[in-house]
Amino acid sequence: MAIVVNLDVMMARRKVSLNELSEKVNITLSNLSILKTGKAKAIRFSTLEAICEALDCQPGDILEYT
Amino acid sequence: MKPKTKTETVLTILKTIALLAFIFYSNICVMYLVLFVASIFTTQPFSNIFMELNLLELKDQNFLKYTLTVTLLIVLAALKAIVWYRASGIIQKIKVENPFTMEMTRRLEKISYSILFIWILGYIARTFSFWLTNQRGLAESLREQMSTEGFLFMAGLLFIVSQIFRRGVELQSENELTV
Repeated sequence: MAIVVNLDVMMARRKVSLNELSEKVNITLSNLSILKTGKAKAIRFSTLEAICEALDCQPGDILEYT
Repeated sequence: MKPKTKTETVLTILKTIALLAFIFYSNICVMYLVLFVASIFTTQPFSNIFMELNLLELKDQNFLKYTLTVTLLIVLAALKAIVWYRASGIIQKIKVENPFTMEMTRRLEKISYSILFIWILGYIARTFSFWLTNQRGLAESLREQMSTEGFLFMAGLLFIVSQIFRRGVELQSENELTV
C-alpha cells in the first residue's frame, strides 16, 4: 500500500508502549497492532484524532505517502 | 438451552430436505447402475420404474446407443446428487453470525458450475434424443426425463449470489481492518 503508518516511530519518540497507548486512546490492542503492522485498510478520523492527542503529534507524523 | 431463531429453524429444515434429496438421487443413480449392469447379463429390460422409460427395444437395436442413453441418465442423476450434497454441505457449514466467508463463496460458485454442467448435459441429451432412441415416442419420454430447463436460470442466479457473497467478504474484510 502507498500509505505507510509510522506509529511505532512516534511511539518510540514519545516513549509510549502499545499497552499504554491502547488505554489512552481506548482502542483494543489487536486494532492498534493491525494499524502498527500496516495491515489496516482504513482509519477513522476519530481514531486518528485520539492517537494524535495521545502522542501529541500531527496526522502527517503518523501517516506518510510513499 | 438457547431457543432457536427462525433462521436456524429454516436452515435445519433445509438441511434435512437437502440430505433427503441427496439420498434420493444417490439411490436413483445406484438403481440405474445396477439395472444397467443386470441388463447386460440378462434379457430383462432396463426399465425405470418411476418414469416408465422402457429401453428394451433400444437395447436390442443398438447396444452402443442404449449404453450412451443409460450413461447419460446415470451421470445426470449422479450430478444432481452431487449438487444436493454440496448444498447440504453449505447449509451445515454456514454460520448465521458470520455467513460471508471465502469458503461459502467458493462452495456457491462450485454449485453454480455443477448446475450449469447439468443443464449443458441435459441440453445435449435432449438435442440428440431422437438420434439416441430412433423412436419418436421414446425420444419424447427421454426428453421429458432429461428436462433441465430451470437449471440454467438456477445456475445464473446462484452465480450472482456467489458474487454478492464475494463482495460481502470484501466489505467485511475492509470493515474488520478499519481501525
